[in-house]
Amino acid sequence: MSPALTIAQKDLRLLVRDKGALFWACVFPLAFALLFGAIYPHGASTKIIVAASDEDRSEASSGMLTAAGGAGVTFVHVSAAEGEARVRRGEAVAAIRIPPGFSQLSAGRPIDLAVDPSRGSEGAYVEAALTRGLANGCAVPLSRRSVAGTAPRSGFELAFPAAVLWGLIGCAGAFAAASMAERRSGTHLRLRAAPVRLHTLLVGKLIAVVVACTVDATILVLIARVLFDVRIERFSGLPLAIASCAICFGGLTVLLGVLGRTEQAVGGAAWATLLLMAMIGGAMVPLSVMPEWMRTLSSASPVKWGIMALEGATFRGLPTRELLPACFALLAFGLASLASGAFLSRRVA
Amino acid sequence: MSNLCRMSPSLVARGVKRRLGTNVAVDGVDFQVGPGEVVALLGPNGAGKTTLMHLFAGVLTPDEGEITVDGLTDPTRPEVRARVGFAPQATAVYDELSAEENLVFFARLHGLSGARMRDRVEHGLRFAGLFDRRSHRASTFSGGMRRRLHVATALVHAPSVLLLDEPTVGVDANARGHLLDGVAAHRDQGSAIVYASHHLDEVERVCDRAVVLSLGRVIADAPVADLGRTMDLEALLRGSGAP
Repeated sequence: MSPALTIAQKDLRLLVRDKGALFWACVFPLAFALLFGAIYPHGASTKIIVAASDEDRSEASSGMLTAAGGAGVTFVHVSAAEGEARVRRGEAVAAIRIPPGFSQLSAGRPIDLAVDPSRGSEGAYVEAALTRGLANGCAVPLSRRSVAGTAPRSGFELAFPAAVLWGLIGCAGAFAAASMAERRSGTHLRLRAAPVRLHTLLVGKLIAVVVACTVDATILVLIARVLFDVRIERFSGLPLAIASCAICFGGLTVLLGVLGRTEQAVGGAAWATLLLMAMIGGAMVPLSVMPEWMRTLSSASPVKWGIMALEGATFRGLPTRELLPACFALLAFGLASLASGAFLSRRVA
Repeated sequence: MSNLCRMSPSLVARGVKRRLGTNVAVDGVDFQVGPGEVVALLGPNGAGKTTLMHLFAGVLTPDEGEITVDGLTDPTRPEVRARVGFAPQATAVYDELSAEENLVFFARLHGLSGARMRDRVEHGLRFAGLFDRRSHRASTFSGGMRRRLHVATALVHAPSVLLLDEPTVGVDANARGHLLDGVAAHRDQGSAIVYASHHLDEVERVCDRAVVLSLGRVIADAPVADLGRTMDLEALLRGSGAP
């Protein structure tokens, strides 16, 4: 067995015997998926509820609502007072009141749109949809088409990709902690005195993380499929997505293991980095409810690309070529981290 | 001293100097140890013993001077490291691996496999007195047992140069005797051994020669018995002795 595989086998054995590491890699992601899968309503998280009070009751007003109601906006018909009450209770993003006389545009009064200020980005989306509806008017019938597989069928389909990323974060954190323990106990010194080159040590550790992440992600996806009926629409794309995630987190772990001179510094830096990536990457709060600036910022986190790749391979059913951008982003993160980790390791050594 | 040590030396250091930050930790050290010889490395804390061990093990590189192992220069090269066994000061075993798994790991890392590896692992288990507990995890062992396993992992590949940095720390009297017997057995098989210790009785029992360091320099190099007549070794090891 080559020295790199010997080191990888040892690291995997240590991971399997570390109950704390197993908790973060397997149990916590499952708990996350169960909790958030139950919280996310069945696919409703992609819909924006708008309370509509149509006081015109004309073909023009209903046609406008129909035109505006595509792409995830759902109108609930209530009275004007009830509409505003629903917005105040957080049950609707906005309330719209179409005044009498809407169909006679020259005589009509403006449409009243009351938006929940705490849900600004969704409000802006509703406003854009209404503008589109007004532009189309009722004279132009809309031809609507549903794209199969793009919407989650259950909350679990949304929760499990994020849960897999939490599992990978757990693996990366566990291996970073094991690297710290090696430094503290002196076994790292023994490895450096062994007849292997530094890059062999790094490759051994990389193999261990990639194997652990791949197994962890595969187990979580299988649980999602078998127990929670999460669809895997692209069996060919799933291995690509999982392998890209695993390589990405393998590279990150190598880098995290050298971020600091002391065990405490490495531990703090590793977890802070991973949690920050999770926060802005959509593993804590879904990207769909993030404000626009945060969605832009999230591109700096590999967690976002991991979730996109896994969602694409599971319920979204994206063809492989559409998965490639996310997979390339993950590989780029992984390789850049690995190169930086190798450079810093050499300097530390 | 064994006749083996009259052969060409296994470990040689010539004019080795190493700075750690602004301090000169090792300052122009000349040192050698032959096959079948045990040389004690003595000195108070901060004398440079551990830095010198790290230089011999190839963990550090000298700023000046040269170190050879079996005639090969530059101990940082893997082919040179393969000839060296290093047991650092801290007990460095994997607590969640069994005694046997620890030995197998270090044996494989040094390129052993098959029957040769199995023989050496069994030898290591017997050396450590852990043959009957070979499948137990190191975390279940006492401090002394872990220390013996730590030393056993350093000699599992039968190195020609064995570096032991305070190997009996935390080991009880019985286990210490067992460990010292094992070191002597390795010496008799032809290993060159560098033995850093603060225990004079161990040095007198197992070492042929002693090299005394102070502030990174060699201040004495003589047979242990001769050294005892010229220096107050007890005071030196306590750190209060004048060179």
